[in-house]
Amino acid sequence: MIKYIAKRLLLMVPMLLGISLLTLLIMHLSPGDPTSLRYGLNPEVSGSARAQLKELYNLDKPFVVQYGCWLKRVVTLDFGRSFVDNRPVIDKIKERLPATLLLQISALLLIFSIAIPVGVLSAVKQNSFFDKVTTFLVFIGFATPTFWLALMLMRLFSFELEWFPVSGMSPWYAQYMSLPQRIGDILWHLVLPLVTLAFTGLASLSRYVRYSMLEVIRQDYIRTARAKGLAENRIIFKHALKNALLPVVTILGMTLPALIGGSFIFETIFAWPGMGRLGYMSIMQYDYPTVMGVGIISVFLTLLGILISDILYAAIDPRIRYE
Amino acid sequence: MLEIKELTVKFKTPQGELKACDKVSLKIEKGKNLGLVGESGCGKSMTCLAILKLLPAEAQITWGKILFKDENIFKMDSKKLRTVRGDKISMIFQEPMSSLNPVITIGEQLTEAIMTHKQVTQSEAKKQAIELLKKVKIDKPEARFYEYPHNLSGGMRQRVMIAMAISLKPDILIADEPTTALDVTTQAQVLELLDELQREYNMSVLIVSHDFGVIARLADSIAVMYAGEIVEYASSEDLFKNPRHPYTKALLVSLKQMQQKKDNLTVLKGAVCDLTKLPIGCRFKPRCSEADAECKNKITELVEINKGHFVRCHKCKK
Repeated sequence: MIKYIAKRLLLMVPMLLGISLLTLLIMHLSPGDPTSLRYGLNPEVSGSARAQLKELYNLDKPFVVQYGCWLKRVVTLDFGRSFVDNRPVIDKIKERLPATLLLQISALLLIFSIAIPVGVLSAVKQNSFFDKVTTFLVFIGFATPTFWLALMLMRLFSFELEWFPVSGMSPWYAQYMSLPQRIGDILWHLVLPLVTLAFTGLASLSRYVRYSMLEVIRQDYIRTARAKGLAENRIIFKHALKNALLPVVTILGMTLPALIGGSFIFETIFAWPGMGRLGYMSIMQYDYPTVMGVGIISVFLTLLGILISDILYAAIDPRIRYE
Repeated sequence: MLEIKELTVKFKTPQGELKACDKVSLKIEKGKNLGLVGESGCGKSMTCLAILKLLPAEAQITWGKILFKDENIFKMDSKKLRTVRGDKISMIFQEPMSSLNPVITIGEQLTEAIMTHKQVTQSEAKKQAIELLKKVKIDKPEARFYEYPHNLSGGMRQRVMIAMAISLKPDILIADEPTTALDVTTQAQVLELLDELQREYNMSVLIVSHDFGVIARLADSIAVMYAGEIVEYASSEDLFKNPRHPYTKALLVSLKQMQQKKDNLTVLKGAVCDLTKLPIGCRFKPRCSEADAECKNKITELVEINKGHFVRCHKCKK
């Protein structure tokens, strides 16, 4: 088990290398560089000042050398300083990561705690009224673009009903609140982004659970369980659900990258101070060190998510062994 | 003890209604074994599943009743039905590979059956489960208890299924093609085991097979099914000595030829008739060597031609 996890962690290294190389390459391929944004349109800045700045940031060196320099620092966990405000990248990420994790983990928990019962129930009562209603809602969920839903919710609940704040996570005056008040305030800000994020995720996951459950309850071993005289609850929740959750765990691993990736647009709409928004801003500002830092941390979390789902899979399916 | 009366099971299919069982009547007596034989798709399995009300959702019981100790199984509520399932009547299936839950240990699947019907502690149930595994001749039962089905071979899994089925000393054990999926040596061992257990527990076994050889090992009386109907029903002795229905005769001829290791078996021409478009007359007529014009239109009833020997063929007279 420990050996397996160690092996998987080691396998992440080449993956991280490849992805970081690609990220830097793509940044370089995009037109312009950090100096052009700051000085390119300013006639008072001379060409030599730009050249000085390029030299300072190593931008005059070949691409491979730049990547090498970056890598050398990263190995010692030094992500460098931001081009924009000269603060250490790691500090900027540390500030933003909790917000993203709070949103993503609570969305994930919400999605799973609703989708599994809904999926199970609509499979057990296939073609019932409940099943038909959820199927209808699921199709709406699939078809709704996140950004549109976000804007509509904002309009209804923030502008018209004024129930929830429009955007942001904690306002400037939060520092004057007591701790319970601050937590309450953050949760209050969390509602709209969470609902938006959960709605679309809910649709696909409950569908997966339903499909998987329908597949399982037709299996021979469910008939065996019935023939033994077990109660229906035990058949569904013990014999069927344990099998039906196997594919769902794989989906859990696949959801994590989607959630982290999806938060780029999402956090920008809701002005949620998370990793996605940081990444987006850094890209717009040609802030290479921050982009790379955000990229690496996101990729690492994604790979970690996949690893966790693989471990979970082995924990519930005895046929899978760590080899 | 168990009486199936005019059981009729229908399936709704895109091609129309399909009659899987058509007025099937059978009787199982205490301590006696009944064999049910017939080719694939003749309604054997559906009859078995109907006894425990385990028919697939698409199947409908349109007529008939099944009396267990004079109580109609179809009229029981789900709670009452659960006390019969597994405890009074238990069942083993054709596919040992898929009949055990792959993510639950053998031990838990066994103890849960015991604890559902008996008020015993976990450790007591475990003791009984290991006893049962010993009884069905599984080696190292203490270790097997903690293993999962994928660690076991097909024959072993079928033994576990048998252990589970006998765990509550049922009155009736339904064995639906218990050896079909197993290789020949394992088949013989499993049949022997069933034979031993039947004697020891004095249960009645309803053994279902398409193989007369398997049926002959265990059954006291035999029912032959064809296209959803019982075509012949007699004691084993009677049936083997004096088969009357042309279908039974044909089956026994091929069995004999197989035992004599003949290269060319007599093949029954044609296939089972379409169960959605049943003829008015005898269903076996298109494949029957003795058929005449009368067979086509005359409704054939199951008639007692000798004491306890029933045949559905109007050419068989007393």
